[in-house]
Formats: sequence, structure tokens, C-alpha cells
Amino acid sequence: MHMADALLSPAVGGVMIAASAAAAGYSVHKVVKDPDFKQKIPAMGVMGAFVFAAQMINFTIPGTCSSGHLCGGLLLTAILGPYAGFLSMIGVLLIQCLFFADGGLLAIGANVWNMAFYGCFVGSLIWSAFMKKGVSKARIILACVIGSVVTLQMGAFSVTLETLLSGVTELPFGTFLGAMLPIHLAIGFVEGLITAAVLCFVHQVRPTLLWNVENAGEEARFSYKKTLAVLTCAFLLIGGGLSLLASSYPDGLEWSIEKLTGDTELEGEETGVYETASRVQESTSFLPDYAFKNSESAAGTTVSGVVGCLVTFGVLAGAGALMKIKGRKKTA
Amino acid sequence: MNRLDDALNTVQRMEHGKRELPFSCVHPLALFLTAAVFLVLLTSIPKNRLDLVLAMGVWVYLYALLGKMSIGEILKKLWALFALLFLVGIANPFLDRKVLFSLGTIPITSGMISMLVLFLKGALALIFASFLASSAGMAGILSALSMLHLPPVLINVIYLIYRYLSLMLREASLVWTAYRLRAPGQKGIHFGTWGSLVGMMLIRSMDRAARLYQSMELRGYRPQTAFVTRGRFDQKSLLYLAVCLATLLLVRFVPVFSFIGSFMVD
Repeated sequence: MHMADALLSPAVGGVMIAASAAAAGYSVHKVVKDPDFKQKIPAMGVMGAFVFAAQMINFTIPGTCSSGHLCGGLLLTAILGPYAGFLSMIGVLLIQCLFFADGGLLAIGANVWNMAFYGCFVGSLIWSAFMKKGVSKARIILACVIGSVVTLQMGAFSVTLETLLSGVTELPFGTFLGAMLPIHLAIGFVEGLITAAVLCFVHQVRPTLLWNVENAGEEARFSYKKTLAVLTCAFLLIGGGLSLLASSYPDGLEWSIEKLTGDTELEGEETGVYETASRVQESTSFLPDYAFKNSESAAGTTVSGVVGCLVTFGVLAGAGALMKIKGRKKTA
Repeated sequence: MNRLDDALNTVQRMEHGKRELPFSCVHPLALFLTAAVFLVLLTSIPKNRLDLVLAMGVWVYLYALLGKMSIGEILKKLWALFALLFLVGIANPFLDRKVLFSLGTIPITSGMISMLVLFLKGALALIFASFLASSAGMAGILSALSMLHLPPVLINVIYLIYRYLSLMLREASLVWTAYRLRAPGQKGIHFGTWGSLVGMMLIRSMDRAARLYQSMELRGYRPQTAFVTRGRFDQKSLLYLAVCLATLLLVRFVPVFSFIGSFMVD
């Protein structure tokens, strides 16, 4: 997500430098006031260098043939706290930009904002919210995955906004956003899992290293029932309620096709394999275009949202159970 | 060679192989200010002014010749930079089809030019930032930042990250090599060992850093006074800054290529 200088105009780059400098100034003020300031300095240095080195190691993404790496904002926050973590991340970004040609010097403000500000400050709010009632492996995993996904999405959104405000691309806002957000959703999820794996290990081996954690040595109780209840409510709210507010405009791909052909959908050939595939799809899709068959009712969208969430959950739970059985067979 | 070894080599080259370049004797603040002005002027060029970007390119080439710096080595790193530039710029030729002129039978559109300008701007900015790093070095850049009143805490943190970098990269490289030897042909580190492998590296590094910092303190290291500004801003540095700024403003605001062209075409 490192932005190059060419993607920014001097005005946007200057504003982002000013905003990041203000956040850095406030962080310096808070870090200096910290009673553990003296002990924190070497930790900040080594954590910055650690994040830099960890970004060079690629991790296998399960189920795919690719690999990803750590970004580090949330990891720094979970160990050092938001202010010290933010300053360490600035150091990492500056060294990357000057000596490794990763990101630009004028774009340093934007990169600090997109990666360090969200990762450390928004990440710290999410981390604190999960750790408020004690620490457990499940809470660490949830905090890391949600924190990484949210902060990376915010960062990707900012990249889009800053590039468009700089006027260097002809891409419409929606199309650019459509290209940036989904890929960073996947990256955020993987980063969250890697961060969670590292922090779970730290919690197991040396729990006092974790920031803002009450009763670090004790394992908090994790309720699967409560978590399932929260997830179910979220499914119903998003799938059943918020789906009604979804934009009726075409998505990025449909928009492009419409520009080229004048219609959002392409007419396929009505012969051979196309016809067979079309017939199979017609018979299996019980909620075509996210609505009841031959009905314009809004309830169709709500039902589609809920059913979609439940089916996805069922498929993932089934896949998880299969993997568990396979793992048990292997160890046996 | 993997990315870790590559980064380790770069850091080692920076630490041990530092050579004296013609511009190394210039005060770091002058180098830093020149780089900052260059970047602002470069990025302020409108998206269709290919002539101005090319003039900036000629300026960078002459600067590299005078400073005995290699552009080729920096260009090898460009692949990483072009990922986002490509995503942003590739749509321009398709969305902006206004024909500006024709090269033979090939129509050159406004979108093609803006894409080329974007790529050139990215490459030139990267090249000049690398020039700054190689002629001023880390200590010089931090000295310039200190003169620009960046908080000492931040400067010390950046300096410590830089100092610990080679230690950490070496440690990571050893761990990674050991892992690869035990898991040949595997792409990346298996998710079952993500936590223990990186977590152990982190805990060991933190212990080591604490010991290292204690020994630094015992030898008299104090964060508040550790970083003193280097040298005096002498006349040579002032001259360098004046010449660079004047020529930069000239190539940015005077269309040099159009001016030369006007002599050739009536």
C-alpha cells in the first residue's frame, strides 16, 4: 500500500504531511510523559526493526497458491501502545522510503497516515475494546482479524481518496475503490491471522509484554455461545437489514461492460455448453438476482441476505470440520 | 536470493561500503532541501506536460553524472513501485481518448501521455530520493531532520531502528534459511508455525535489544544528546543549494524543449 510520490499532488502531499506531523507531535508528547519512557526507547527501536524484517518473510495463505506478509501497525500497538507504535512505524516507513525505494518522500505523510495512523490509533481502539474484560486466545484472534481488516480497509480508502484528489488518474471513484477494497480485505484477513498467531504465542510465553491487558497472566473465559449469538445478530442485521440499503448502481465490472456495450449484462450464446450451464444455474438459483422468483418484493432481498449468510457460514463450518477430521487422521 | 538477503545486502552496503561521492561533502540540510524542492516541483507538473517531465529527467541525468551516481542500480528496484502506479495509470489511455497528435498512423491520446507522465514522475522521484540516501547517508539525513526541529525522541527511534536493522535482518535470514532447509519446496511458512516462529524471534530480539541498550547506556549513550548536528552550513553548500534550486526552477517553469524546438521550426 506504499504510495509513490507520483500519485500525489504537492497540495495533497503537503496536507497529509501536516496531518501526520500533528499526530506525530502529539504522540511524542504522550511518549515522553510515559513513566516507562526510558525502557520503551530500545523496545521501540527493536520493534520497528522487527516489523521491517517480518515484512520480508512471506507466509503461506492456506487454500491458495500464494503468500502474504505482515504489515505491522496492529502488532506494534499491541506491544508498545498506540503512541510509541505510531512513532516506530514512522521510522520504518522513512527507512523503507529512503533506502529501499518503497514509498515516496513527499508521500511519506500519506503513507504514515494510511498505514501507521489507522493501524496504530484505530487498531488500539479495537484492541482495547476486546481486551477490556481480560485476555484470551479467542479475543486476541478476533481483535487482530477485525483490527487488521478495518484498518487496512480505511488505509485503502484513503489511498483512493488521496490519488483522486491529486487528479493523476482518469479512473472513476467507484471503480478505483472497487479495485482497492476487495484485495485489501483479503490481505487484512491474512495479516490479522499472522498477527494473531504471533500475539497468541507472546501471550502464552510472556503475557506481560502485551499492551493494555488486564490480568495478563490469567486466561479470561471465552463463551462460544455468546460469540455465536453476536455473530448471528450481525448476520441478521447486515444480511437482512443493511442489504436493503445497498446501492442500485452497477458494480465496477458491470459499469465497465455498460460503457463498452451499453448494457450491464452480456448476452451469451444459446448453444452447447452455454445453454447447459445456463439451465443448471436457472434450476439451482432459488433466489435469482437476490430476490424471489417473479417478484419485486423487498422481502426477497432481506431473505437473500440472511440465506446467503447462513449458507456461507454452513459451508465454512463444514470445511472447518473436514479439515479438523483430516488433521486428526494425520496425527493418528 | 530472497528479499531478506537482498535487504541485508543493502543495509551492509550502506554500513560498510559507503563511498565518498562528490556531493557527500555538501551539508546534509542542503541535500535534503534540494530533494524536497525537487519532489514538490516534479509532482506539481500537470499530467499532460510530458515536455516538462522529460526536462526534469535530463536534469536528474546531469545531476547523476556530476555526482557519479548510478541510475541503473536504482532502476532495478522499480518493479515494486510500479504495482500501484500501474493500477492507477493503466486506465488513463482507455478513459481519456482525446487525440493530441499522430505519430505516423498511430494516434497519441491525452490518456497515453498522462500515463507516461505518471510513470516517469514515479521513477524520477524514486531515483532522486535514492540519490539523497546515498550521498547524505542515514546520519546525514537525521542530522538534517534534527536541524529542521524534528523531536529528538523520533530521531533517536529512527536511528535505533536503523542500527537494529542489520541485527534483525540477519536473525530473520537465519531463521528463514533454517526453516527452508527443513521444509524444502514449500511456498512461505506453514500457518501452523506462524506464531511460534515469529513470536520466538520477537521475544529473543526484545531481550537482546534490552541488553544492547543497557550496554550502550553504560558506554555513555544518552538519547537527548546522542544526536548532534554535523558540520557547518558552509559556502560550498550554499552554492550547491543556489545552483540546484535555480536550475530546477528553470527546467520546471521554462519549457526548455519547446524553446529549443522553436529554433528548428521557423
